[in-house]
Order: sequence, then C-alpha cells, then structure tokens
Amino acid sequence: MTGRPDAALSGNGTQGVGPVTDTFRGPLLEAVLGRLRPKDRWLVLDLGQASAGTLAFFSQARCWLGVADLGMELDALPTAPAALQSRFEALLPRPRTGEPVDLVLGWELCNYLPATAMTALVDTLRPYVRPGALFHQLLGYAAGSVPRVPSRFVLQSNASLKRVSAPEKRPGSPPTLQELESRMGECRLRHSVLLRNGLQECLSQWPGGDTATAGKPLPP
Amino acid sequence: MAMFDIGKRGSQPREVPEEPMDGLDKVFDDKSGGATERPASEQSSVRRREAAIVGPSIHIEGTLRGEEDLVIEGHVTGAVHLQGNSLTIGGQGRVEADLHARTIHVDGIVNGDLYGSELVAIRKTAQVQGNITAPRVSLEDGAHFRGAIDMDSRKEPASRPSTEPAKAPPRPAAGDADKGKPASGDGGSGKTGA
Repeated sequence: MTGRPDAALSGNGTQGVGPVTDTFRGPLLEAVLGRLRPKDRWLVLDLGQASAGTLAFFSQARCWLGVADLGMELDALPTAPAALQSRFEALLPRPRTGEPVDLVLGWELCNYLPATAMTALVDTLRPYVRPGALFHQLLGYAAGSVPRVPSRFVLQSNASLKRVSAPEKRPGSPPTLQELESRMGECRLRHSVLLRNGLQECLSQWPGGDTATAGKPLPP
Repeated sequence: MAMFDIGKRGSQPREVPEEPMDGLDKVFDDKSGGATERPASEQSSVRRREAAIVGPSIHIEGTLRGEEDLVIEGHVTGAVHLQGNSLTIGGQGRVEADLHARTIHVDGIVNGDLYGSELVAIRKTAQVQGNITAPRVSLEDGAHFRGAIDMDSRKEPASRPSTEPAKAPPRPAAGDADKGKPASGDGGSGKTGA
C-alpha cells in the first residue's frame, strides 16, 4: 500500500520533519461548491483520503459522500486495462439507492495514476455518474517531481483547500492538460486555472450537461 | 459468559467527547437547535455505565445481541446488534460485521456497515471499510476510511427535478448485493469496495 503523507514522515530517516501544509483557494472549486444549498441533495465521490473537514463541509447539506481512498492502492494496481477496471469497480463506493453521482473529486490523483489507469478509472465511473456530472481535479505543473505519496486534501468551511504533503519527493511528471484530456475520454475538460502553488485546477464534465440540473453542481 | 469480562475493566477504555469533529457540532447545532443533545446528567450516567468487554484473545463468529454497552478488543465475525446501547471497537478490535448500536466508536478495524441511531465516531487509529448511516458522524483525520456516508436523514426527494431524464444504469455496488436484506440479517458483512 502507498503510505500517507502524515505517516510517511516517520521511519525513513526524516523524523522531526513535519508534513508540508498549505491552504489555497481554487476558484473553480469555489464556484462549484458555492452552489451547494442546505436542501440540496448532492452525491459526491472523493477519490482521495477521508478527512474531517471534507465531511463537515458536505454535512451542511443532504449529501452522500463516498470516499474511495485510491491513493492507498496505487502500488497495488494491475496494469492491464480490464484488470484495472475490475479493480476500480471493487474500490469505488456507490450509493445503495442507485442515485447517480453528481461530483467527483480527484485531487492530485492524476499525478500518480498511469495513463491507462486514469482512462480505466474514468471508464469505470461512467455508469455511475449522472449526465453532466463534474470531475474536479488538481494536477501539478511544476514538473520533475511529486510528493513521495499523494497529498491529503482537506476541504475547509469556506471551500478553500488545505493540502498536507510529505516533504519527500519522488521523480514524476504530472500530465499536461492535453495528456489529461486524452486520458479522460468523453469526460471533457471545461475549465482550468493555474494556481500560484504549483497546482492547476481542472474541471471536466461528462456529456449531457444540458439536462435538468436544478439543485445540482453546474460548471461555473 | 466467560468471554465477557463484564465489569472488570469499568467503563469504556477511553472517554472522549461525543461531539463531532471540526465544526460538525456547529452544523448539527444549526440543524437541530441542539435538540439531540442529551442532558449532561444523562451523559455522565451513560459514561459511568459499565461495559462488557470482548477481550483481545476472543474470536466470536455469529450474531452478538445485547442490551448493554460493549467494547470489542477481540475478533468478531458476523453481526452486532446493540440497539439503544454503545459499542466501541477498541484499538485491538477487529470486526468483520455489520454493526448496529446507538453510538459506535471505532479505534480498531471494521469491515462492514455501521448503523448508529445517534452517532458514529471514527477515530484516527481506525481502519474502516464500509458504509456509515447515522444522524451524526465524526471522523478524525488520519483514519483510514473507504466507503460512504449518507447525510440525508430526511429520506424525501428534494432538489432532484422530476423532469430529470433516466439516469445512468445504477448497478449495484460491488459487494452490495446483500444490501437489501433486513438489517438484522446474520453473518452479513456487506462491504463497500474490495
């Protein structure tokens, strides 16, 4: 299993070095989450690690929050597309009610997932999301290295994000926007914004966004 | 029963406030006006109540039912029903079962769904794979959790337009095939995910 940004800080000669944290605002994320009202029923799938802040944020409305914690599985993922899809099928939580997911959060995951895995993930998600569902991602644009393990992101009450990263780096080149788009099939990139902290916000959408969306997340 | 060290270890091994973390208390206060909070005297009464303990060397297979608080430090496979009482999965506890209780606190490992009629609290040492259903859920950062938390307690259609076209085919989740069974089903540990 891949480690945690917090847990990765011990036992490898870096005791005493704390995790690197920063808090930042993502205008695309804020625009999407700013539409959440207490009576809304959103189904949100967080592909990353569970956090108290994210839970608290979505507790403000009638949300279903699925947590996939895919970062823990990165080292164990198969390589063949069919096997990948089957693995993701097993890992992704889905509403018992059969309601489709409205919003997928995949913060920095694409920095770690190989291209075939990213495509398999989007293909796996397709039957479980509603037409027009949104996929919000963060990818690094400071090429050359990424934190040794995926960062933990905590949604704050004002829709800003706190990132907790391991200080150790490992070689890695996040995908370019073009590469990301080519990996995501019919889930098309709608907006992207460069942030000052070396991350790039990307908001993608599955087809069918013109259908009824009252009370649902919409692209800004 | 010998497997229960009833009363030997006093109340729950760790006393923690039962408030949700990171502002959840405010959220719930806002929603309920604090109406769900029990009087302090009642809370302290509950905390003083002694709990039965399943010790670390105990492995139970089957359905556990009871009308008193329970701490599990051992290995339980099957189902646990403590309606109206508190259940704690201790740091050494390992449970492959659906859990039903008034409040559920998890420090250890749980593979199964958690149904708390009042509160489910996942602490930072916990490893939980399953779905959580409770009016109040707290989760400490650092906990390993994979599953889903449904915060819609009203169970009524809202904000979902009637004109919405047919959705993508809702396939049952992997391992969810038994989710329609009655909550009291024995031996079920329907898990979300692997």
